[in-house]
Amino acid sequence: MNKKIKLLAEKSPLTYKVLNKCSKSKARKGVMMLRETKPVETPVFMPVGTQGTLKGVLVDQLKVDDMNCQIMLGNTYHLGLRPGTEILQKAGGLHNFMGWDRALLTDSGGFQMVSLLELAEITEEGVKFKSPFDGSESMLTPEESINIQNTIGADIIMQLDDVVKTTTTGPRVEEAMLRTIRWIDRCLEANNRNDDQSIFPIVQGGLNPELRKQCAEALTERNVRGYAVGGLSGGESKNDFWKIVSLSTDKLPADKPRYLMGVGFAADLVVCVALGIDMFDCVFPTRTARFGCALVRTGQLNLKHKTFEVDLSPIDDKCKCSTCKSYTRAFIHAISNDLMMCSLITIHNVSFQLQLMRDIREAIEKDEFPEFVKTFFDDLYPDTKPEWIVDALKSVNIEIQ
Amino acid sequence: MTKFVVESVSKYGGRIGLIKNVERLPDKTFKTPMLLYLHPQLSREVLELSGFELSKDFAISLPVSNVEQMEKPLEISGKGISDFWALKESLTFCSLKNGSIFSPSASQDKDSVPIYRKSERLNITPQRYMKMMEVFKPDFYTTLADGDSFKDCPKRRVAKASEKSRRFYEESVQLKKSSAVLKNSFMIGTIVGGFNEFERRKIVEEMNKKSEDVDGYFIDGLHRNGHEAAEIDVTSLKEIVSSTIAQLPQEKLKVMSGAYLPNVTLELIAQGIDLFDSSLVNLVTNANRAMVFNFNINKPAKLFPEIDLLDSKYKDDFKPFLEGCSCLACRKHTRAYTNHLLTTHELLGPMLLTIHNLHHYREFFATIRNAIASDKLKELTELISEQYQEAEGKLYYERKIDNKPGKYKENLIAKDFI
Ligand SMILES: [Zn+2]
Ligand SMILES: [Zn+2]
Repeated sequence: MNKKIKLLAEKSPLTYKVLNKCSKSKARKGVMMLRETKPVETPVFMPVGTQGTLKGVLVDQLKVDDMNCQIMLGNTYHLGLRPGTEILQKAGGLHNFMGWDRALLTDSGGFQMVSLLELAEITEEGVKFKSPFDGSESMLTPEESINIQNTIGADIIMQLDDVVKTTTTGPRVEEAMLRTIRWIDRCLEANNRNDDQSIFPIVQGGLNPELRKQCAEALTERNVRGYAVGGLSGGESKNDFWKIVSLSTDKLPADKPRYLMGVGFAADLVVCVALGIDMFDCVFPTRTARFGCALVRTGQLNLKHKTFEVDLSPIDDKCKCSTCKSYTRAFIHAISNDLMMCSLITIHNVSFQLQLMRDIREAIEKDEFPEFVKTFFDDLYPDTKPEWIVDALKSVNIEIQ
Repeated sequence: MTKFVVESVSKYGGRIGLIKNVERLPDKTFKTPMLLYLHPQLSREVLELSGFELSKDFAISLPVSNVEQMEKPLEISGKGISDFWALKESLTFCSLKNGSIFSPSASQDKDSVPIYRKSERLNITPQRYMKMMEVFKPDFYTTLADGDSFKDCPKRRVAKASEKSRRFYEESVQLKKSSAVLKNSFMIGTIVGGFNEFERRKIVEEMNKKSEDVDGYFIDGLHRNGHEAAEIDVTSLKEIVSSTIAQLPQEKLKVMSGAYLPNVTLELIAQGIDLFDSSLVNLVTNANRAMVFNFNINKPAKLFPEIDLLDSKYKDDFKPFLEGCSCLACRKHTRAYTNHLLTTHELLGPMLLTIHNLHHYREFFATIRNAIASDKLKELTELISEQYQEAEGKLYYERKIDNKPGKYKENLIAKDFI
């Protein structure tokens, strides 16, 4: 297979191949070949290095065998402000700037703008906003977003989409969906580096199945190398959430990767893989580390809590990360006011996410994914399992009750 | 049991010593003058990836003021603190305070010395301190003393600190003798007394009465840590250290802690100090700066000793901190990237600075050892002094303090303090 994929990769900056399919659910294991970077195995979780770094972690730590992070996400909005495109241009892109020779993905910057800046306003032209520094008015157009992302130089870049709150209803949802379709064409047109940067369009349409369907169909007609599902994980009910995810994967082409944006809680990852998603990102594992929270298969541990004062076991005795190999819960508890705490827990949490995805891929490869899912949820919810999870999994022929 | 021997004394100043027969590390020999990595905040994996050879001659210093809370878990584990820190092959030193953090004068009582944790005051008695040493099991440690004094400290304060510290020393010797765990430990007597030779002599005389009770000397009480050591008056420092050392048995280990500048460190080494900690690395890193002073006497270029990486002039400078430096930060990253990390308050910024600064300072110490062995300490001292003279008054170090800002009064000289 390797030879064949290599050949393909020479022609296109991103080739995706499904290697194994779950015989019951929509889960699949695949590999994404990206130009000049190592292959990315899917399903994959992408840790978020917002400003060109993961909090307190060396890029070399992400590359050690037991971690083996293959792709990371950067935020266009933040990177566009600091260090700014001029410096990124001089550095020869973000890969060089941060010393990361593996794959990178950047978002469009639109979502961050709308959620971080109070006065952002969306028009047909783009996202109008006031500079957080000098208050001057600017406009992030689809073209400008792609321009910035061309300078950052990530392997996968995202279209600018019209983001509405997940819980929005009425004509605004349809307007946003239609505008997102118009904007993908402007983005594709503006991409100056189509030979080494692949734009993913984003399926929008709120919680309305008809609109989602219409959007997915329209985007499928475009010549792109992968797709994203956006506008979810924003406070909608889980029942609505999984149905939209499942409907989107049904409509999107099977031979291209599908990326569910902003989703990364362990339970969501397992369910959404079963529903046919290949790529995920989420700030939660790295953000929560700063507050002393470590992720484990049964939930999470707040290591600042007094109960860990004399707990001489590692965070997770099965975990292979460098933190669990060397340090105890009691040690991390004792240094919870020191800088090192954040680094140690971040390493563990990222490793936790990547290990979970490795286990998922292995289970799919052996066609044991349904069994894996059952064991996973038995550990996480020994008593009653949330109804939405049971329903979602049942819809793809996995019984966990 | 742990032994210190002076291997050679250079007629041009300085001496080479060996620390060996460390009970936990029987196969290792550590060469002095040596740098202790103070209160490590780089994880084991980061240190290894950065190229620090932990299995070779790595040594760490863990101040009680940072690790007091570890007594309970370590009592249960029964293993020492270096094992807890995942640096068990490192030579491990314990003392009371962190030399890189300014410790404003505090009210004192007769039977204890205060430390601050999360701005909570903890009174440490010799009993508590020695109990911690039993539990932490460092390879060597200083005795508890009242080092709360500085250059222009009132006489009465110095006298009180000295009197208390003499009592503490006697108690420590007794506690050590009666402890099954500490009986054969390497204990370093702490000498305090500000810049007052008379008060210092009193403690030294106490120690010299039975010099076999103590394995080395910690010359303390000259500053209140943090920036105060970096800004210390060198002439009076040299005088007081020299008069103190003159009264001490030559063959024993001499230790000092604090952020002395490299030129001052060299003066102290010339006088016979064997062990220092990396306080200055912390101060320089906290100031967002990288050490770049040149210590290559074969290529004696003079450089401004530190560069401020928060300065926007580095925002598009894609060179390493220091051309030719072999540390991970210089091999893999740039001034521009670090400027960005510091500007955006990313944790990786201080991490990269620490990697470089610690590497640079350890290399500096390796160079010092070579210079002593080849009788070239004078040339090295000249090269370093010229660079720091150039920088005089231009290097500002942040006032990082160990208790709540609200309680902080610089040069507090109130009744309760004396
Ligand atoms: Zn772990
Ligand atoms: Zn360096």
